Amino acid sequence: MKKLIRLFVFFLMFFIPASRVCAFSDGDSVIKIIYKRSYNNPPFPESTNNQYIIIDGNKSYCLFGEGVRGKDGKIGARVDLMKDFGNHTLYFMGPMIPEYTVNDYWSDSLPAMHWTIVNQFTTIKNNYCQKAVTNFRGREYTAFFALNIPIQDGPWKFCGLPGLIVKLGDSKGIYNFEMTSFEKVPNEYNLGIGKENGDYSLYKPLFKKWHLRRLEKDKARREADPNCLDCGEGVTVRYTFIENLLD
Amino acid sequence: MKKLFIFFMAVAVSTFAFASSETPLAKSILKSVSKCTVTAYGTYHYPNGNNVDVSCTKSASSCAQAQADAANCRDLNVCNAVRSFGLEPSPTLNCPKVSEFENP
Repeated sequence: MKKLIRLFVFFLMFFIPASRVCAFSDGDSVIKIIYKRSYNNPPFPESTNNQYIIIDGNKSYCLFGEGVRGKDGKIGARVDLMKDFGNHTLYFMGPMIPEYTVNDYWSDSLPAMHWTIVNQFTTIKNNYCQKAVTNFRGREYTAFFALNIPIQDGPWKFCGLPGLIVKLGDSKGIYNFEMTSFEKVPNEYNLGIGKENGDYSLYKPLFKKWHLRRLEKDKARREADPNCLDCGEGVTVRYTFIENLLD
Repeated sequence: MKKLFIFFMAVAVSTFAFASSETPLAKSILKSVSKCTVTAYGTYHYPNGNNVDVSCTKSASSCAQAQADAANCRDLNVCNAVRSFGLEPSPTLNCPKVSEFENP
């Protein structure tokens, strides 16, 4: 019996690290994941776009577009967000023109949210999934992660579950992500991020100040020329933030 | 009695004729004074996960003009929002040159 317990503990020691895989590394290959991102905020019509994620070793890159192949044969793309699982840090692009450009990045904790795993299971696109919920910066989210894909990643800032997030949405149905593709591809990518300027606690008040200044300038422009083509009574411009930056 | 009958017949015929001719005339008057109203919507997905929604409702005497005005208004607003973030808008948008914009 003692031998049996020792054997069980021995196998458990191997199992725990394996279940905590948060990165992918396979020589010259990377994992490419595509999420369909839907944004549905009435009365505006629903719009969708793709979010591309490349997982290379300990790093996961969330790209702005699919990328463009350069003369050197490598695919380059602007990186919206990079998760460095080795350093437990997430870096996100946060331009505030003119002080900070698209080459300026800010750091955030990784994972940035705390999940509650729920005892509910379902199959999504042939993946056996479990449900998890979180309340992250003003929105309540429900995610389904694949128990058969032990990669602790997901769309945008979402990660930190025992498997890859294949479906995620907020309780109001505004933001929705659904994995549409998961494949191993040759590593032809040349990806990187710019300078880090500070963490989220520094970024948030700076963004709020910058955004309010942007709104004031725009209001002043519209008042100065009420007949301009993009002005007038029937014009609405509405900003929606996935994380509450204006608290 | 015969005169009265002729009088009533004349009134009936003229009323019908007036009514028949008045209908298309009223329609054409309405067409020339009415305006066509069109709303154009646009959404831009910022790389940081945020969104800007734009809607432009424009009226013009012709629907083609209203449609063009609404689309231009939407594109200009989206261009403005994209550029304020430091990004260059897609060539498919009818954006004015960068110099015509002022950064916030």
